[in-house]
Amino acid sequence: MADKERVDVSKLDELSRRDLIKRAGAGVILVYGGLGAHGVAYGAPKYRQKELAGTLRILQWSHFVPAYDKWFDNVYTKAWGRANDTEVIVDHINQADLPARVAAEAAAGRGHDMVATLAPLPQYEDRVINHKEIVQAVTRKRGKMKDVAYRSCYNPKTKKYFGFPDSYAPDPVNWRRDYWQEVGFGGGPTSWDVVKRAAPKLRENNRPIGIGMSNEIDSNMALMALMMCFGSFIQSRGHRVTLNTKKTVEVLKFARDLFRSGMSNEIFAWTAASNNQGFLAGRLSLALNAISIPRSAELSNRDLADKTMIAPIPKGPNGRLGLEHVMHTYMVWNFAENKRMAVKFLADLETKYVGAFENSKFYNFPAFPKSVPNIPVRLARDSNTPKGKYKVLGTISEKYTKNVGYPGFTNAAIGEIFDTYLIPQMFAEVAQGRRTPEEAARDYHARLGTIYAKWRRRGKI
Amino acid sequence: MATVAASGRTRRRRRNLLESRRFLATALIAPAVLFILVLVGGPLLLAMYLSLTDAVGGTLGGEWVGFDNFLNAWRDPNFRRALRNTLLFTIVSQAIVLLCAGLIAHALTRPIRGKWLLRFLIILPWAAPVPLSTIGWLWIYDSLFSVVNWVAKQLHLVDQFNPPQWLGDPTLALGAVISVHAWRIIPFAVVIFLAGLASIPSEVEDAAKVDGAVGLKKFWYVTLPLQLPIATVALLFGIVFTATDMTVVYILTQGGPFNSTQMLTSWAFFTGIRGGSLGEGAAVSLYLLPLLVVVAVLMLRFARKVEVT
Repeated sequence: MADKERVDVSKLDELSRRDLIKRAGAGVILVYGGLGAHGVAYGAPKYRQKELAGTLRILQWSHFVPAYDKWFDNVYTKAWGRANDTEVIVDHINQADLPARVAAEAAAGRGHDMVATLAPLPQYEDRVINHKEIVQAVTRKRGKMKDVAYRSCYNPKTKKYFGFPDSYAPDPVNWRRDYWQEVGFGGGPTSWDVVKRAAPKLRENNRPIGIGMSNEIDSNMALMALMMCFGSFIQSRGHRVTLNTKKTVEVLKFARDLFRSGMSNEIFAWTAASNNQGFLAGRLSLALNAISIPRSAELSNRDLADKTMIAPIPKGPNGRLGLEHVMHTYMVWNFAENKRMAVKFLADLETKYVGAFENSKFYNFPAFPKSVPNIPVRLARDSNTPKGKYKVLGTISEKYTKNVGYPGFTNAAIGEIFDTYLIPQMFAEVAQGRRTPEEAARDYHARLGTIYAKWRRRGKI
Repeated sequence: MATVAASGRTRRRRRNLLESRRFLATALIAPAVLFILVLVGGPLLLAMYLSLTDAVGGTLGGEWVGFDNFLNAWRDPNFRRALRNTLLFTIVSQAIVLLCAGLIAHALTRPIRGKWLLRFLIILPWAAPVPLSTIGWLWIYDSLFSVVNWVAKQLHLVDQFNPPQWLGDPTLALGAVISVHAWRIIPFAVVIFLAGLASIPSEVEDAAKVDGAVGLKKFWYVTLPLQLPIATVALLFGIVFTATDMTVVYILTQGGPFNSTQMLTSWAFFTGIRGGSLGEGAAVSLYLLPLLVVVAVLMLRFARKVEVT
């Protein structure tokens, strides 16, 4: 049968040129016409084995752990897409480029259905849906959302969830066990007082403390956490600026003295990657960062990884109060073309978060703790040495992780202060002796007050 | 017959229209004018409107606040520093550009071996995309891995523990930003200077020689006056390129240390886009407008002058 249908090449010479063109034309119409009709009936085929009706477009960062993106793009979203008859398209960009891209999409009213940022962006509240529906859907199945996530994405003034946080990264202290042992502080940085006493000795050995005071995200996080350990807060529970206090003066003096006795001036020039680089190069004895430092060391330098310890933020006069390092927040635009599936996607992702937690190598802690069963057991199971190193992340996430703007909610004013680097600026000016701690506390209180007044006028605080 | 005559008339009218200087000039310049109106005029008007509102990130409008954004910006010390830096970066970098470009261009007019290779190498910084080349500079000035510091440390010229922080000390960081601005604009100025030098008639050179003008004297009395109009063009372009650029500061320092290297462009970005106060960001950027208007008027006047001569 097949042989009969096959064109006999020897007979081609007998065909006229016109006949040949006619037959070829008819063949083309048959083949493409057939395919076209099929396409009209079912939509363009997206997958080899199955056609999907809808499309969901997501923009998010290139995860620090590449394995997470592989799992998210190639496993999770594909499986979810097949189950929900939706093609999920995920675009990744560098985290530093996200704010500008998000602003462009918001202004244009076009782009992805949802975007994920590393910190909540309350300023876009009017451009996103109320994510309450997602929160409720997950709460019904997994119980309450963690307080740190709730305070990061909810505006009590407008009663709106301006984002949906799927996860956050606890922010431990990374320290070199061998360096600290050399100077007689084998217990590590248990309190800020210990850090201050160990710092001159570590510096003497060319192993400075690394707490950034630069225009970058890690400096913001580390310094705001340091402030809270000393009882200094940017705002009150009722969202009033509370910077000009004795506690702020105290923490500024502490940071200045710590810089002079135990750090090098490179901290003023840091980028977001610098503390990782400094630690991995063997220079720093301590850095405040998420688990990106030990995870990188595990890939490139086993010996260094074994000597790298993680611990909760050191205890200060006001106890231990740290920040999340990343509050991974999805925002579904109110102009999204596929809002319905965006909402379902996020609810489904959060409800079964085990894959995300494991593939991010414990970087992504679920915003709804019950979405990942047995977190302490999973942390203890990590095979890297020293064994059980990551168990402490459970304690940090449970006890010492607060939102940016604690004890209040994260809001647009906090966002602007964060993004214009006013807190690192204040610390750096004092550390370099350009202002006294008292002047700095007074002056920055006034500057922050202007920003709060502006956002209050806009009805967002 | 009548139809044929009518179509002939239409053709003639069309041909006459194309011969008309007024029509042709308008037709030819229209696409450029349209382009400028849509891509420059439109956004400029939008920025003016936004600067008078309390617009927030992601919106293109807000409540009318008059000149509040301009006043708020002026009261902010970071803004005033950004304004000062914009002027400082522009003036100092352009002084360096003029000096270096003049020297290089003169050197390149002399018969030296490998002149074409030298010209190619000098042009390279201009050909490379600004973000890429600035990332290169970021590594040169890096806080930990700076190649400059590495060399200086090997030669025991700097403190081994605390070497100079090119991007961490306000004065050094200002110098670093200026040096990168100058580095990227020098090639452009060199090309313009070379064109200017090539346009000096050889008779003038010969006459100067006969009159005994050589070396510095010849440069001062002959070459410099003849080159001045073209140097001014290079200067004006350089001012625009530097004052309106935010890439260098954004990549090199993010405005740090402690916002001491912010320019108006970068501060507008951090306030308006990153911080979400779009109206205030627009106001910050519009402070540049008077400077740019002056430069644009000067450019047009010089262009006309060159055209007349």
